[in-house]
Amino acid sequence: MMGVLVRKELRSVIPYILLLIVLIFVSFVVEAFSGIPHLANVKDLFNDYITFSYENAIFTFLIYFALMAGLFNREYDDNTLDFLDALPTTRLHIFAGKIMAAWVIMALTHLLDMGAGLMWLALQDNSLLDVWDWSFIGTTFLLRMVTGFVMVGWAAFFSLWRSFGWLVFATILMIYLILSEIIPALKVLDFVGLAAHDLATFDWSIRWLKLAGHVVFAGFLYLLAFLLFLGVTDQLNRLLSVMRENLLGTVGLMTLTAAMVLMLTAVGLVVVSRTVGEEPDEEEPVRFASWATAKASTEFYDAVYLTDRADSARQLLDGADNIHEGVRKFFGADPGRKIFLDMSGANRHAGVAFWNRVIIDLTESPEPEFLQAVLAHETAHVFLDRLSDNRLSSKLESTRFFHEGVASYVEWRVSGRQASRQTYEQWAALIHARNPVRFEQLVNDRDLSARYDTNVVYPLGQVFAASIADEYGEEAIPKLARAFVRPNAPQSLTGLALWQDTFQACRLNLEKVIGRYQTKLGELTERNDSLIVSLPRLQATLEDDEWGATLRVTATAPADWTIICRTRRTEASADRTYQILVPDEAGVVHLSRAAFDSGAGWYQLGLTSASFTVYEPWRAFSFSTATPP
Amino acid sequence: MIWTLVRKEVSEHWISCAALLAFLSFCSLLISIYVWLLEAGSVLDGHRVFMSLFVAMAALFINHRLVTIEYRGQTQLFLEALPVTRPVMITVKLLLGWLLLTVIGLLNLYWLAFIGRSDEPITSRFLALLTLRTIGYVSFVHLATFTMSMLGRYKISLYLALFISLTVFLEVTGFELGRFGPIGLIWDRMEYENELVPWVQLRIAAAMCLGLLVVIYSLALVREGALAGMLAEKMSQREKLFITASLLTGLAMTGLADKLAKPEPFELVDMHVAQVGRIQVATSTNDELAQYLGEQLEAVCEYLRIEHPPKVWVTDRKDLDVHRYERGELKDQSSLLLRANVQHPKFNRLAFAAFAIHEFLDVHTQGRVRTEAKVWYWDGFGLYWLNYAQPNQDSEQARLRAAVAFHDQPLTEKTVRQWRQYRRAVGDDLAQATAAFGLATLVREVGPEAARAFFSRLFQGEVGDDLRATWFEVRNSNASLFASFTKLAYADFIDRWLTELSAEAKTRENSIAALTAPTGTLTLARGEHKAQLHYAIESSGQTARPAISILYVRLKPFDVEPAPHQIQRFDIDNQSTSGDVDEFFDQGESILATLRVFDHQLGCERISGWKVLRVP
Repeated sequence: MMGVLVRKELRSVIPYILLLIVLIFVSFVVEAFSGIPHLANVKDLFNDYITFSYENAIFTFLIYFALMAGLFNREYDDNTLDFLDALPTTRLHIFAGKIMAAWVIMALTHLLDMGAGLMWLALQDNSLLDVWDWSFIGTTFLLRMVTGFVMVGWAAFFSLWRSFGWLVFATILMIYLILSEIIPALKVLDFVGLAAHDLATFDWSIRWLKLAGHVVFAGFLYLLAFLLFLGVTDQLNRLLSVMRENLLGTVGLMTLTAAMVLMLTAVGLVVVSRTVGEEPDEEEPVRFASWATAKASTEFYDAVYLTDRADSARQLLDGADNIHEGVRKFFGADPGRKIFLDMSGANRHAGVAFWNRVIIDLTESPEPEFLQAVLAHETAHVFLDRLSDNRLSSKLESTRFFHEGVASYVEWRVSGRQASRQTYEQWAALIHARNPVRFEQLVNDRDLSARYDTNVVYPLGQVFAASIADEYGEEAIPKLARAFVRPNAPQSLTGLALWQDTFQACRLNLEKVIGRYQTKLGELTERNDSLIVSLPRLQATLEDDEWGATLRVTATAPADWTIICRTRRTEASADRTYQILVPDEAGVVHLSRAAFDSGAGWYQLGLTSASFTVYEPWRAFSFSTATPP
Repeated sequence: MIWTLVRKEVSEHWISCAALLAFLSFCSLLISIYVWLLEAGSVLDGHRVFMSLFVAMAALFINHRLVTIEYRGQTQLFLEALPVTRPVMITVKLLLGWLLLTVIGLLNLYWLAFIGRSDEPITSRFLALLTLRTIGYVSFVHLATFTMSMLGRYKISLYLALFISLTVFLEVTGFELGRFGPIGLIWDRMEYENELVPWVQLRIAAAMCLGLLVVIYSLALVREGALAGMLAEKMSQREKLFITASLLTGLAMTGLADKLAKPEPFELVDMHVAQVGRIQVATSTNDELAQYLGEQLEAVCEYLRIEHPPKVWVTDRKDLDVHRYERGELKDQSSLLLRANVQHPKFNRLAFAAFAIHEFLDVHTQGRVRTEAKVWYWDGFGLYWLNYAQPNQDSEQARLRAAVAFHDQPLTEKTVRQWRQYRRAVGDDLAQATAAFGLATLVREVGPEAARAFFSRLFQGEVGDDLRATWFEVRNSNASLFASFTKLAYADFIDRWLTELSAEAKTRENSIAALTAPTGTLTLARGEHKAQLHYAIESSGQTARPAISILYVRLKPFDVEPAPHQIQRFDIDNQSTSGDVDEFFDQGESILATLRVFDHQLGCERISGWKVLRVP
């Protein structure tokens, strides 16, 4: 009798077999005409046909769902179940017959799918590829069959809820999706991705426990489906009819369905938002590859860089240890542990240093000397932090001029690059001649940024470091850095008081150094007199216009210099938010009202050359209160 | 009698409609919160979301109740027994549904306008425009869903078919649905356009509504309404499967839509363009390079009888290593985009041209040169063309590279057949030099004209980029082409090639011995749970050891030929003779790794041979 039942069910699933054949044919057409088959991507072929990818598994599960719904529900819809009940057989036999028919379809699905994949793979002409790895193919087939067994169990369970089937499915899916977002470990319950075990190149690393758990649970689902087949479904359908007949029931059903749709959409959006950006956008008209990283070690650095910039990186690394030694000797420090040197990305600055870590942007300049100077500068920062146990950096508001000044000084001393020293000296002279910065301002970085330009710490700091060296010798510089870690150093001091205390702790006279600093600046100003005279002071007039205001600069820039205007919304705005504008030929800059929501802002004029920019002080402005025309 | 019909519809559907209104009110509230929380550009953004999502869902629901249930239950037959005409019955249903949906749409609009009144310049004209847009959109959605509901059992299938065909249509044509007719009424600047009446979109929407009305009345009236009744019957199992198969076929065919969509031709502006014969080369830096490349590629085209060559673009990248050339992956496959550090003082124009020819042939043949039997010809052609066909100062270096390759890994007939494996043994640069040497031997053996005919057939383009290309390769196998064009036995040619290469290697023995070589071994050092790549460098006896690096790549599932950009590098400290790469590998993982040095005399890298190491 069992054989008869299975044959009856197999006859009834013939349309599904035809459906499978149609689908295989369609996939053949798509594969054949969407690219050159023998050159198809091997990875895609394996993922699409052999290993039961997640997308493929979802699609297959939906087919199983439809199949099981057809096998079970038709008996109810056509009232043939009563006829079957009258035969000398049991419900268990009928149920088993249907399940076996489903298994046959399931096995056929996998055979046809993998068969098609192997056919395309056999066309591949690549000596590095061994398509006929039977151990791998056999294991994959078995994994797919086990996954299929579990899926059929779930499909039978859902389909026997009849009208409630999709609702139950959506509810379970929703609960799973939400919970697995909160507790990622729950992803182990995902039966659709059961075939996706760890795959290393061409070897499966099967998680047996997970597989066994799913198989046992599928057995339980088959049992539940059988119980539903015995009659629970009819009772549920009667309940549904009753609910549909009254307002409360209808509202309840609609709300439940709508809530389900909304929550599934929300979860879907979360999932999509997390995956966006992971895959390269296929719509891009052009794409270049991102190169892998390379690692290298020298005696004092552990480095990473991109493999397509190996020449610049290696050039820098070859001289890196000498630079390190130069910096170390300057500070009279121990080599300490290796510095991590990251050269793998672009940056806003040519170099940045953190605690024991230096980042250098190799794209900043093709000149090896420039990059070496940057490395010396950043390494000096690392040593300053080491000597001060990071206290210099933790008080950066008051110490930035020292940090950058000493690093710039050491950069010049170690790399011997005269160009950078001359540039800094010219810069310092111009600042001193146009808008002298008092030492009290120099030790207050926020104030410096608000009134003038935070970058002046580089040239002025370098002159200050040179003044210390002139007055007390270069060994005074590391001595000052070390003073920050002395046991009784007061922690609450900032600004001028901090430096007075630090100098005093080292038995150095700050006033003397400041005096030397001023003298040096005076000397530099004299030395660069012709440059200072050649550069005009910048002023501007401001008028309201249709869109906000027109700023008219009343000066022209000499050759090799450009006038720029930068704006900010408030005095406290961070430098990275400044907007930089270049006046047109008539010296006009338009300030848009839309960029200044408070109706007021700040502007600053500057003269920029290839090496540095010298600014006038910041000026506040406000738009007229009249509504623009 | 009309009122009787209205009362009948109301009494039949009031529960569902009341529930729907309650639900939509809740959704409208949610949208208000969403707009407020996300600080959207305009509060009326919420109206767009509501209309495109919830009003569309409501239209589906209402018309399902008004039409599908009526016809499926065949209760329309009772109505037809009443003294009302069929058009009246349909009109009542149409108007009731339209009224309900319009009220829903307008209520949401006025609610959002009310909550946004203090932040938005909502004038009476703007509100009137929004009302017009809402009514236009609602009318279209209502009539469209009403029509679909009249189609009974084919409704869902048609929705799916419509979705699939629309997707394909939009993909192929790039049509902007969001600006079109009724959809444009709520998508195209709806929340900001407060002055202009969207006449074009309204006219299109009106025309579409009129068309839908014709369809609705035709379906309702044809054969005294029997057609709509027949369509409302349930589908048979076979019908369901047929429809499913058709839809899935349609869905699968969308995969081909991408191919049908012709990508925009790749274009870069402000370039130096050189037109030499049929070749157009555009570079971002100077005319001289464009001219040189144009001349070389034109000569290649002339030699290989290429009629429609791809357009070549070259951009400058200062941060790239000077010997590193990259090819951009273009959507427009009729162009070739390359980039290199072309302004670097050490930029090698000749080497770059060889790379350009290599990639040029790949684009021209749509990748068919990657067929294993053709790979060595492809690998060698660029170098052959520049160093053997027109000898120059670099030719000697090319010959030296070939000799070194032979020294490192003697060539056999098998290695020629499995060229990719040979590449793995000696590296791309040396393999290309060996291949170029082979091509020179071939030209000498068979004569320039026969060789030219053979090469031009070998690199023939324009044979299709699908199954036709595979079929072309089957019909024109390398062996058959070689035999018919060269009149030479392949085995004899390989013998000749090996003999010449062996002689070349012998004469250069001393030079090869003086070159730097990556001598050492790579193994996997197994820890308790993970493994590390372990190197042991052998002393070469030279005073200063060359800078040796390890190139390695973790092979992912089905990684057969990792791309160059995936390869990682570990530079071994010059003092170190053995150690581990500070990267850990799991059980079962495979790593492809080699030792590598850069030899300045060779002008390229030399490797110890790529090996696959598997963590047991």
